[in-house]
Amino acid sequence: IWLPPAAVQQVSLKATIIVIMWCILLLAGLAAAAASDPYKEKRFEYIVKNQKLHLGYLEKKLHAIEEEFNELSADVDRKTIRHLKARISNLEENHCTDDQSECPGDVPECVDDLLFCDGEKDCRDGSDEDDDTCSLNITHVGSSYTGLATWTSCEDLPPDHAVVTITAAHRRDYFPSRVWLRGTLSYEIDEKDHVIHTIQLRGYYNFGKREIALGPLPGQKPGYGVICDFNLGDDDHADCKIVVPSSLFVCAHFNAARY
Amino acid sequence: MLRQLLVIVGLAVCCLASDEHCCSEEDHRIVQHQWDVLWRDTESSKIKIGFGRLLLTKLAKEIPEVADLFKRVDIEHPEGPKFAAHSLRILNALDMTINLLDDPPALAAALDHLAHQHEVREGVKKAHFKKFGEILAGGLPRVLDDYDALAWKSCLKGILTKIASKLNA
Repeated sequence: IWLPPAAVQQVSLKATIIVIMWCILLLAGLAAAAASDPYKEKRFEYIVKNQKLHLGYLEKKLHAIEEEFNELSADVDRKTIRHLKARISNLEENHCTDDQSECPGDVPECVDDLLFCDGEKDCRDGSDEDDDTCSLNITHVGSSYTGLATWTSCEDLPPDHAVVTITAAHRRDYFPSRVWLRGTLSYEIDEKDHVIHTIQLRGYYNFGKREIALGPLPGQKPGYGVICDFNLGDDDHADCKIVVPSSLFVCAHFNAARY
Repeated sequence: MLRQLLVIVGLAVCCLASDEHCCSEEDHRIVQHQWDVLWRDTESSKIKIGFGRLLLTKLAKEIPEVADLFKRVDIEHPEGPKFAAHSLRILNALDMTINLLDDPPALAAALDHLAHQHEVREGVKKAHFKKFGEILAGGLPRVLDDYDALAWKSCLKGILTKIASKLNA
């Protein structure tokens, strides 16, 4: 285990203090053995007092070093590192076709995304069946993902909040590689009166792509669909698009976070 | 052919029926994009003056009573500085409204202001704007290589209607 030099110093200082404590105890024992000479006792007290002073001095020094150490910048939090790694791997190309996804493990390998989380290991390292890969966290009923939607087409709206909420999730025993979903998409259409437009949607979650895809209900006037890619290294952040269901033409875009 | 005609008529009816599909987000994106082609180099004021002059003189030719309305800006000498400045003003206003198409509240305010400016000009009529719109729709495809008539019509209609909204006739 590697420690920064300041920490090493801390540890060795702590060790010294412990040794000194033991010395004092030893001295106390000796003193008890010697006993009854008043000057000896005074001398002994004198030594003990000095040792205590020295301890105090060491403590002060230790605090000074601790302060100095605390002034150094803190460690990067793990979430930031996870996001950074995910962004790098998004930028790195993978060689998979559209209906394949890359195995999440260390060995690059493409597997059809119908084979993810179906109970059979298809990646060589079995990473298509990992707990992380097959976590149902994203599709929990009641999950809400929200962000500022920037409309680039379809609607004449200023950037405003959009929310995707999962209202039902169902996984079939005989076809577990998808979670069938129902959800809603809401977006503000009037900033002054806070008028919200809400659309009922249905679709699925794709484990391999880590993607929620929602389209209009059958028989409804086709409005918009939503595609959310959870490609930021966790289950709480997604890159979402509001699209035209038929062409998948992108109308708006928002970086969603679990609400 | 007949089917195409039906589609166009259908679109027009749709446009009148609801404001929603009139000059949609994508429509004015196209309009702005195609309009921008005109202002590629630094001599844009020359183009604006020339184009504006053509539009206004054509309007005065089609509706003779209009010539009187532009007396104040010396329409008798269309090549003169007074009328050139006025052509530039009008084209700049059109430029502003086109550039504000993606900000509806600001556009509404700007059009309202323009409507007021025309309201106080005695003798300006709604019919003049209708004619001006026709001339503009006829002139734009001559200067623009890419011209989406449906998008332009739906957007210009809204702009000109609102500018003429405070006029009586």
